[in-house]
Amino acid sequence: MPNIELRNISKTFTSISEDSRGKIITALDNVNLKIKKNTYNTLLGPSGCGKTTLLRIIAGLEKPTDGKIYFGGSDITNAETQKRNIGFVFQNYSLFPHMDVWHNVSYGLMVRGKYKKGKENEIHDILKMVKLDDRTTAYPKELSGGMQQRVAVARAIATKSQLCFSTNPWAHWMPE
Amino acid sequence: MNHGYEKHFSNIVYLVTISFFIFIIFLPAVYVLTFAIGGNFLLSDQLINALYVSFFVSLSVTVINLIFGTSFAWIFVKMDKKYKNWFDNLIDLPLMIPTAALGLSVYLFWGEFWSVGKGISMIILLHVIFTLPYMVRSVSASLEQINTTYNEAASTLGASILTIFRTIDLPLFKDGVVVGSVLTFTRSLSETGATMMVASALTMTAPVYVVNLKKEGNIPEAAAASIILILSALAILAAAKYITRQKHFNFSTFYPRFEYSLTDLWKARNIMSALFLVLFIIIPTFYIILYNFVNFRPVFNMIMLEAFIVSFGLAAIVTAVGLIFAIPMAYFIARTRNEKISAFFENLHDIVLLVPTSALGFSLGLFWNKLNLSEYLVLILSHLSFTFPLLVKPLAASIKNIEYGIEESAMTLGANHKQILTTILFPLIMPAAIAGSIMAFTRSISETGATLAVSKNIKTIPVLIVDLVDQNKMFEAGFICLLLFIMSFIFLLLLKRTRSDN
Repeated sequence: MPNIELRNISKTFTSISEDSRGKIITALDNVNLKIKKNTYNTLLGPSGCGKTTLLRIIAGLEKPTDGKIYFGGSDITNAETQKRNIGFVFQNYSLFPHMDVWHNVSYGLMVRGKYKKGKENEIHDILKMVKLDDRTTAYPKELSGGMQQRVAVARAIATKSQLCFSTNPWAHWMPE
Repeated sequence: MNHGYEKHFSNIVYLVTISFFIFIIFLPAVYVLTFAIGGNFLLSDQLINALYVSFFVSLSVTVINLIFGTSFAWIFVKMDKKYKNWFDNLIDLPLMIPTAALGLSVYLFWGEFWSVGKGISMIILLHVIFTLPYMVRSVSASLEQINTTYNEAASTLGASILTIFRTIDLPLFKDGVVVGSVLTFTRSLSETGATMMVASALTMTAPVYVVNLKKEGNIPEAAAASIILILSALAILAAAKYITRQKHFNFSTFYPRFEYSLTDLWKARNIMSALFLVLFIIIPTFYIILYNFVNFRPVFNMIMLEAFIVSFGLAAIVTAVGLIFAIPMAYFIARTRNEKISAFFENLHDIVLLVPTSALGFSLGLFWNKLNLSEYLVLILSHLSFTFPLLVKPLAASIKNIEYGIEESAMTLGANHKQILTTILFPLIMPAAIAGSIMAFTRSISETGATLAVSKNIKTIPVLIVDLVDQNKMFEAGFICLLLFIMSFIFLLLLKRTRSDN
């Protein structure tokens, strides 16, 4: 897995709230970060310090106001989200409400044309790993918060992306 | 007032309201269907041709609106807030302008300026303008409910913009698309007054044909046309209800490379949509203002004044009477514990709303003329029919949004029903009542088909415009349209004000 490198990443927003309309808010200010291959990293910080903003910038869901992002030596600062191949587990899971567990998890493979014969076993193995192999036809609204989170994790890792992010990943995960 | 007396009084109010709806609104509207049972109808070649033109036009307009209306809805939902208000008013304006005024503007723009002849093309160009807001509003309402993180999640999984639209967004806003399509199709099918200005003798739509048949006294053929139009509206409503009940779509087929290759085309839709909006909606709609500016001479006369008095008086009476019965009807629909009964009455209101108004007017005329009522009273009853649902629906939606617990709290504090109504409920539903009243009022002012189908001698504003165009008195017709534009804009601002208060 290649290195991720962030160089001088800054992000500012313009406030739209009534009492401070037009005020510039700095979410990130010259952040420099290197993430090595095959490592598990944790970003810790108080609420509102910019952790999620940083992850969204790396995933391509936000554009940095300034700075560059490198992935395996290549500049991906302006690359589309779809092309970055980064798994992302959202804070509210964002499971597709009209798809069952199976289709949610296999969606990433389907849209990339990688869902061919034989892949069913891989999906099944991933669901077994998150202990949801018996709920493949359930829809998100039928699942508990913890189950939804596990589906979101399974969905992110099913595409075998080289990098995977999660915001507050173990919030509903009960130790067994 | 003791509790037992209040309960009896409530039951009597419900009985009177439901009886009003069944015997004054619903049954007269569908009375013409009894002609089908009696075999008292005639299907001629001309009628079949008129029906073909109607369905072809409505279908074409629906397809065009599906493409551009969905695109506009998308743009509107994603738009920056500072432009949204402006665009919001623009979307609603064609709904508020009486279609007779729109018809003249379109006829002058495409007919006299671009020399497009009267016929199917011009009918389609006209119908797209006043039906587009239905599609945009329905789709944008559904789109706004979709959590934007679904799109983000799909893009992190590698889906292109087009794949995300097809597999994530479309299944989630399909109800808005279905509702928009139904409203577009039935509104186009129903349109009479403006169509009369842009249709040719060979390309007449069915509602225009019904009006002509009524004038000639050809009841069997007019009955046949009305029956087919009413049954079509019922079939479309049933199909729409069925489709919206289907919760899950089959999306197992993916075309990653093909859909990704269309990404640039997808991005170009903003430009294409903007061009369509300007060339086919905005300019033709407002052309009448330019026409008046260039050819201005004030030509207000007694006939016009009489038409304004008749139209405004009719609309005011219809709105006031409708509101008196709409409030208890809406309360009944919103509060009844039996969901099937609530859904039943909602469906009956939908039927009345969707039935083409010339067919509705013809049916009402047949029903009420048996009682030898005056022409003006029959006109009031016919306008009441298609405006009543416009009052009931927003009121019912508003009451549903008010937790019943609020009324129960008032009861525990000792308030009787009258006090709950006047101090709790009425203030909360006032914006919906005003919004519904504005919609009912403007709809009544705008209506041509039902008026022509019901009355021979009464000239409302839209009927006068159609007559003036027939007589080639364009300046006079244009002047009235300009006054209607100004009036519509004022009503639109009032409606926006009540919506923002709500």
